[in-house]
Amino acid sequence: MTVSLYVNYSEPNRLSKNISAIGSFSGNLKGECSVINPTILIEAGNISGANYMYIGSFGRYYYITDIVSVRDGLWMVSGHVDVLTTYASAIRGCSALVSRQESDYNLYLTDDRFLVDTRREYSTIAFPGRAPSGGDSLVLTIAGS
Amino acid sequence: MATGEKLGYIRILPFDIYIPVYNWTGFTVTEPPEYGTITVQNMRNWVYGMPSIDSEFYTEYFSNSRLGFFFNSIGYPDLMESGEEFIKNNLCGGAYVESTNGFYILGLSLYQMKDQSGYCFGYKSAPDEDRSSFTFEAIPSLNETPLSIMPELSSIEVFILARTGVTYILWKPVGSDFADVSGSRGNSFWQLIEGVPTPVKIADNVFKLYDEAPPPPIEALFLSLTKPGPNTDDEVAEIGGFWTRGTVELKRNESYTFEYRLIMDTLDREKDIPYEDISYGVFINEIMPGFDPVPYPLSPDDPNYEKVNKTFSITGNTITISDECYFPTVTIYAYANNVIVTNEYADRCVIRVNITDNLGPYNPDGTTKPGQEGGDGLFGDNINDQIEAPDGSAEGPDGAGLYTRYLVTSNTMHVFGEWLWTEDLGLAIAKAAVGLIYGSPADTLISLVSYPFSVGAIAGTGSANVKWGGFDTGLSWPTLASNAGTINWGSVSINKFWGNFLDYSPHTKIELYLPWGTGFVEIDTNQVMEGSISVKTNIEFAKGTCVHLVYNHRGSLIGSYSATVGKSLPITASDFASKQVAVAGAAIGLAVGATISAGAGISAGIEGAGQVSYHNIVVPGRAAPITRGAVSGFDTAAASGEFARTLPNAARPALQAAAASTRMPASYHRSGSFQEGSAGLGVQYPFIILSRPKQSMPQSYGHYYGYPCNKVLGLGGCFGYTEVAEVHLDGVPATDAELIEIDRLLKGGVLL
Repeated sequence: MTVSLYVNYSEPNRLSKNISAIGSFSGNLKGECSVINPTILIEAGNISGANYMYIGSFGRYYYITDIVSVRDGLWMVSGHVDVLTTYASAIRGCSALVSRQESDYNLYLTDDRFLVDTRREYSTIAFPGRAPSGGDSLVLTIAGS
Repeated sequence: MATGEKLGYIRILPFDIYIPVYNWTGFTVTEPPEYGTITVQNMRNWVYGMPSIDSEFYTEYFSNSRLGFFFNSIGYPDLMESGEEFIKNNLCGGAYVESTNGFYILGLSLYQMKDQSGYCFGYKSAPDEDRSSFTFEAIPSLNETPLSIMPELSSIEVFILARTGVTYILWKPVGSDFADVSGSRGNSFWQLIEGVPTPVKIADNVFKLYDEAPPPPIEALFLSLTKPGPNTDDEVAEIGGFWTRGTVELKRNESYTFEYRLIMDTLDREKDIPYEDISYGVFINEIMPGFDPVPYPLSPDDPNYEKVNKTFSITGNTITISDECYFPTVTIYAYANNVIVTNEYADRCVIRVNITDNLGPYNPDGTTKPGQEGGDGLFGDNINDQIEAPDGSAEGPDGAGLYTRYLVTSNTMHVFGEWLWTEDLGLAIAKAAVGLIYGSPADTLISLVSYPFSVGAIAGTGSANVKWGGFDTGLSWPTLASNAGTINWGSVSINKFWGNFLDYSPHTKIELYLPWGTGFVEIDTNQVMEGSISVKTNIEFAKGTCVHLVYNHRGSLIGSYSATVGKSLPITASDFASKQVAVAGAAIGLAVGATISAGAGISAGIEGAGQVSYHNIVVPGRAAPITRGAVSGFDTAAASGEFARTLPNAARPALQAAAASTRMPASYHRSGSFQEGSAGLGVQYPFIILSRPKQSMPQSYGHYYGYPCNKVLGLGGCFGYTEVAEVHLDGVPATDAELIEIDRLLKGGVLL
């Protein structure tokens, strides 16, 4: 099978990875092999810089979890499936109840993650109106008109 | 050279010169300009600016000349005294620019010194207090300064950055040659560039400068495949390369992230092409008309190398803009090289470029950017009936005319006291007689209330004689036209500060102080946010009680609080008059004969006494007053029994009682009391104390945490950090373990 090795510069939780290719190599499965956590024997030069791979036969992208030099030119590469990139298109086709989003949001929903300073801001604002000037008044009320 | 706070820059194109602007405060423009200059006072505190003379364009266009404000480090008196020659020999001009729509801009004019001539425009202006608008007044006639600016200037664009927080306004000349407008005073060759909002006219010659509009959202750019997909049975096909681009407006001290996606899709599904298949880069937008975009990165040999590096730096997918930004925009492009598509996704191939600033909806200080406050809260048609409170000017509850309110002073009270305590015998007898029906005059005094303001201005005034029952005292005092009045305190605007939930209850609190004993009350912030609070106070003048009515901006009554504005003063009176009544009544009874009853005699006496009394009051000079001694003598005589024996039996008790009463000290009673109310001692007008939390908002918060969303969204339409509450992974051809992992990751937050 053909294994494409890459250097992945992206975070694990990013669907579309920013990767640069190292090369495609022929690999063999090492014994029984899981498609979720495969181990592949690859004959190649130094591939220790790779941290990501694509196995066409499995149709999956993998994080490389370990690279073991078996002997000169033979590498045992272990990986774990990158479900986000592998199924990126299908995931994008799904609808979801999104609780948090970077660009589509409602800031008037209470966000417990917001931090506020202990020091509060205070503003004092006076109403513009005033009681009529002219000094105090005395009002004498007398029965009768 | 410059002093004060640096507010921003004025950028002049095509030379791309940035002029720093300092400290707009403290200036006034008062005099018509001469020779194109403007009388600017306190110039040292106004704007200073000199161009970045290291610009290569500057040298090209303004060799041996200078461009900028004429008011630099030179003081105002020198400038004015030297006039045109000064400008020619020293610096360039600064003035105002008039647009075709009549809006006069405080800005700058160009004055090139190459041939010792220039052009300035004659307008004057004065800023309003908060500098959010400017008033401009055209000077109708001035001698022209010859205009001979080189033709290249016909394409100049002037950016005016009025002040921090207010957008620059972009204007450019229309005419192809400045010479064309010689004599027209420049009122026809400036126009608003399309797309820039028109200033809002507030009043004649007063225009509001716009708040800085948020940059338009940069949407994903779609570029359809120039070649159709293979749509064949072939497994793959090569469709060649294509590219797309997105433009981002740069702001100083901000950073932007750009992301690319290369997608093959059919109508109902899409597939991302690995990132490696996209190459990307940056074009710097035209820096002069006719220039080609400058690619990025540049070689050090490129003449723009230094400028570009001063403008921004690119690390990975992030552009960080420096404080010395030279370029307003850059174009980010993405190029897909020899895209290989499968026939499964054959219809279209798209490059999406998504550019976002890394501040999300927040400014660096944590405040919310205009227009990005989140949900609008469109909750339909809320019922909002108007709750009408009585107007204080309306007839009060005791408006049946039983009472009269007089505006008095200590002087008038003194006169009244003299009347009350008169020793005029005739008046006393008259009062005594009337008092038999109406009681003591003091009993008619309902209240005396002191107010810490001019009541007449609220209630209106009239004038009337003071009457005691039907008895006119002849004293004319000002009266209140109404029983109650209203003080309208106006309103206070309540604005959002953070643009999020922190602006509302319970996070933001509003305390309202109401005068005259009410004190501080808490207002429901949610009732008034993004609106206003208004207060009016209805006052009833007999007792000095009042009700503060608090409204929100929708006219809803949100609070009603009673208070006491008036301070009741004690009215000291004596029942001395009642003793006079008794004595006088007895005397009158004697006078009319023993055959009549004491009551009938008194009744007769009332009429006579009234006439006498009235006469005594209105005629200057008084009848001989009854003296204490005389009363005592009368008392003695009455008590001696001489008269008593001759009186009818019915009259005897009255006379004896009257005699007895004169031996008793006059008893006093008090109406009203000093209240503990200290209405006149506290603050005499309402105010609010608004307390809000201080948000601590790190930059790029949204990138790491996202913001609350709570919407059902298609994940394909989401960009950036996304955290899912629930998702149905329909159509994901993954194993169960993979589905569980996808679910877990989505709920933990992913970057789409």
